[in-house]
Amino acid sequence: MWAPGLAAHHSAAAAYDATRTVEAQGTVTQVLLRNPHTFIFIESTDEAGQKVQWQIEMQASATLFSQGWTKDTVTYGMVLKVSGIPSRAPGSHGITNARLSLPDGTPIGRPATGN
Amino acid sequence: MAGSSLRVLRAGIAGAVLFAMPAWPAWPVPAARAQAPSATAAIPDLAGIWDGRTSVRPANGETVPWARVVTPGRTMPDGTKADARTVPNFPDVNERAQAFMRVFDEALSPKYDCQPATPPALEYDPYFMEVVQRPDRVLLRYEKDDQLRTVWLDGREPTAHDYGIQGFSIGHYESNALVVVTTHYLFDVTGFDDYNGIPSSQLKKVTERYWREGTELKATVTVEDPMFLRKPASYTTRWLPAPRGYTLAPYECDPETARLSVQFIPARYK
Repeated sequence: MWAPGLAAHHSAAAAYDATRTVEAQGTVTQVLLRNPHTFIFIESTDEAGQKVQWQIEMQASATLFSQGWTKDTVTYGMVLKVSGIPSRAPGSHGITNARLSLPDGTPIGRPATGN
Repeated sequence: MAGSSLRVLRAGIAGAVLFAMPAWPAWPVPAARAQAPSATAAIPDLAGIWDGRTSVRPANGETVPWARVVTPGRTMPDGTKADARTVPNFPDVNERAQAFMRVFDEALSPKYDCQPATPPALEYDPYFMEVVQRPDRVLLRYEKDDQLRTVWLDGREPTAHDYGIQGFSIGHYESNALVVVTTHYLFDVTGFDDYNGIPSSQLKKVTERYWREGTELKATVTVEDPMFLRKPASYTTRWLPAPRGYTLAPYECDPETARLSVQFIPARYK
């Protein structure tokens, strides 16, 4: 699911670097369907074999619900592929403007139709 | 000592009077006086739930609605397309505002603690809004941040006790439009714009004009603030009717998640 900018709440440019992209795949460990933004946490393993927790920032839950998202769209234990814009702080593992899909590439959620 | 005792006595009397009064309202209301109808004060039908999402207009950001340059063809906040005659409207900020903008640190933005947005930003946040028109007041209810603004039409004026985050709003109908004037805001470090770090002061005065154009609800929002602006700044935006049956959803800003992304902002100060 393509989640367009974070303009509703804050300047994404302060926390995320829109000149770069990043991809991750992992298992969902937590979903916080909240306002002003929804967060999904996935756990993956890096090249050194260390576990890494990614924090994926989505739109407000009010916005996601209005686009057809439900509490069952992404749930604990699902394996997700995520691509998006990486966080700026050195060593951090954040993604926003995220496209979510299943490992086989099947998109998750309906296409976004507004913020 | 005597002065201190006097203050305590006064406080006690005030407290006793307060508790002896009827619960509500204690406000000096001008007896449900509404604006008198006149030929120049036709009351437009503004009531309903209105859609302000990005499918209707651009979302707020560094360049919306305050544009430094406008490229012809760009969609403006009121849904129209810019042409060569469209004039940039970035505010003419004074040296004090420029100093605040230079030292602004995104991490201290009050929004990361769920402090609600205020005019002139609240109006173009990409969410739904409800308008309720009554004879003596208009209620502006925002899905964003669960905010409710009351626009008094009955002639009351703000007092020194009416400073607040959303200020105090009075209004009247004029030429098929609702005109709202809001004063008595509190200082807000991002009270003009949180993308460019422009603050607003207690002197902020926001004048809004709401009218209908066919199915659209349009508004021009003008901000004066002599503490930070050299001259008034203004933009026009629009809403469309919400889908049939839509009701405003509770926002219930969560302070825990509101601040989660701040860790990704490289520290500007130590």
